[in-house]
Amino acid sequence: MISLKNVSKSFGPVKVLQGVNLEVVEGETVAVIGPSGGGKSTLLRSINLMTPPDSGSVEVAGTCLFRKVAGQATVALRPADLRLARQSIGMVFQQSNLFTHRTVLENVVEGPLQVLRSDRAAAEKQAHELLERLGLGGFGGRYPRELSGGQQQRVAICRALAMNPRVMLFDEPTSALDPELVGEVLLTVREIALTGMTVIIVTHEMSFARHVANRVAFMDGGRLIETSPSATFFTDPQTDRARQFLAAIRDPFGTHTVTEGV
Amino acid sequence: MIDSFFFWLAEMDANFAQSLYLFLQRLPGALWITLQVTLGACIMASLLGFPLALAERSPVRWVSVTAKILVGIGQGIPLPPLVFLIYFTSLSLFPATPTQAATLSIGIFTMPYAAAVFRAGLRAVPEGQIEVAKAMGMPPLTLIRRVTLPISLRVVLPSLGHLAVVTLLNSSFASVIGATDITGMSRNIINANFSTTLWLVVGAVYFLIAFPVSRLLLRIEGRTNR
Amino acid sequence: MIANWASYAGELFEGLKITLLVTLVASMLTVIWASFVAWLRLGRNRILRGIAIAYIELFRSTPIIIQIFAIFTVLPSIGLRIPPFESAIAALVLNAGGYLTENVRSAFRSIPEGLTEVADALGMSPYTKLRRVILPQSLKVMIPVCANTLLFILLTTPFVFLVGLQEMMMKANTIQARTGDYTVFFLVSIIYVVLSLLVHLGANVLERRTISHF
Repeated sequence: MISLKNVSKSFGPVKVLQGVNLEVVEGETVAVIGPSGGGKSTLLRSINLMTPPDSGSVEVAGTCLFRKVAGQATVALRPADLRLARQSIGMVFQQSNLFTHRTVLENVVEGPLQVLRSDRAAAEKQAHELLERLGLGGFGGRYPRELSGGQQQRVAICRALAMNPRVMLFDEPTSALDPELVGEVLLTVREIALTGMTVIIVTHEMSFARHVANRVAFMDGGRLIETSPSATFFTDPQTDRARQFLAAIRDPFGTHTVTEGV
Repeated sequence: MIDSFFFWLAEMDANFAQSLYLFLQRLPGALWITLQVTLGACIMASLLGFPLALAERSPVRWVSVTAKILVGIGQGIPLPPLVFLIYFTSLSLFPATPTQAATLSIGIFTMPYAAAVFRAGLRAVPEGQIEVAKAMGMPPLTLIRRVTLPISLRVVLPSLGHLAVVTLLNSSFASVIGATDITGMSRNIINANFSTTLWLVVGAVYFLIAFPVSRLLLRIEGRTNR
Repeated sequence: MIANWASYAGELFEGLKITLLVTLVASMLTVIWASFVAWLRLGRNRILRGIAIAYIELFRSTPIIIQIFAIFTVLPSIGLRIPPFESAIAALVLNAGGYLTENVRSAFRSIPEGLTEVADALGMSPYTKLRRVILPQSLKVMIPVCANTLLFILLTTPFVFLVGLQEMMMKANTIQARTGDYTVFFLVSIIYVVLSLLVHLGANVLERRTISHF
């Protein structure tokens, strides 16, 4: 469903992505974890070209969105084609970024009406169903500022789903939230994952990565260090760097010595 | 108390009653010229200031730097020399009436301030909302119409109103190059009749336009900020 | 153009000196006057507060030209004769006061209370607290206020040629009337741009100095 090959990106002298390869099959949920500044968000943003890579290739749902590889024809979509491709890639950001001047319902139907040019009645019906499903029935007429952070983030998820995307990208959707609001958002993401949606989520929530994701992609220093099934990643990481990272998370005060499988 | 003050002034100023009569008679026409200069200058300042504000945000460095320098220079020029400069320049190019020359020069004078207003409006749109719209594949014009404009207009419209009030006050300088706006018309009457007391009435006319408008704008802003 | 400019540079320079003198004197008086009005405006006395508000609104809602004419012609007609220089200063100070009182008020509000609390928590003596915390903070907020005042007055001084004061704008008018060369107004505009740039730069340098100085 998603195929990244040898993707590299630099911001000035800083190499944020260095030859990253990642394949995600349809219906899979992949959690991207790792220390801050490791290139996780940039990787996610390169999938829908919100941050276009410098080189490598990006393919989503059988369409090549970007290719700049020596010896192959370069692919750079025209703006209109890029917009068309983005319509089938839903993205949820760290901040909910709801349109502050529009109600919850207006936020959710904005994409279908203004981008997909859907019929208003159908778009509103679908929006109501989505809001209902995510436990936000009855919030349609409210303004974003009247909602809690967790509710806002769930509306943002609804807004992305309303475009009927083939893929959902979540960029640290819970890291701007108060701790007690994290759960409701992660449960929502899990529900979406369970419907068979292809999901890539950048997150610091290890229990989510462990229990919901099928696979874990561990990134550090702009490289994809390790990609393992989540069942084995947390019990038996294959690389030293991943072991150190997991040890630091579990035992920040260093009272136990670093050993496997603590 | 104010009444008796005016009567006292009127006694001092024998021609006051006649001057006031003339003033009131000519006020509608003069008011029309004042409004022409004010609105004309505001529209011109907006038409020039908006692209300037866009240019200030341009990712192309020389464009943004040039725009910023232009705005900086513009905010350092006082109204009087600019009006005279543009008045005489336009006279040498085409037969400009004082009203036209005044509108042109006050418009150019107001341009950098209008650019600052638009800059604030553009800055008021949260980056994240634009990012979301781009991520869902919204075309640029739709994005401006559905996201940028609704948010920035809330900031821009009241500020443009305040700018219009300031421009109304500045428009009185049109009289110095011979326009018969409220100030110019009054000056003619006062010079002919030596009735300087009339200046207080002229001031009151400007006050009666500017003050209620400012108050109204403040109230509108209070509502949108809540 | 340049040759013309050179021929009357001396005359303009005479005017520039008066412009600068008027600007400096009026700016200093404006800071004092605006602080005084801000104090009335924040005070407890309802009548004084009302007078302050009425003054601010009156001078913000009438053109400076009318204010200048009113001061220069109405006052003499009721027996108060004021020479051009003093009239000009009075008009500038009264006009700028209407705009800058709010400025002074918000500047003093912007002094963070937390810092004096930190000073207390550190156990500073009142003298140390004044020298190390309160003075630098007040100066820091007053520098932009003074710079604003200076800029505001600078850009308003060319209006006072209307009372016949021989400042730069008046000189330019005389030169234009005599020689017909209206590019003199271009030269005057450039001089004003340079002067306001200098005020900006000066304020920036001073602001940086006060932060590191105390």
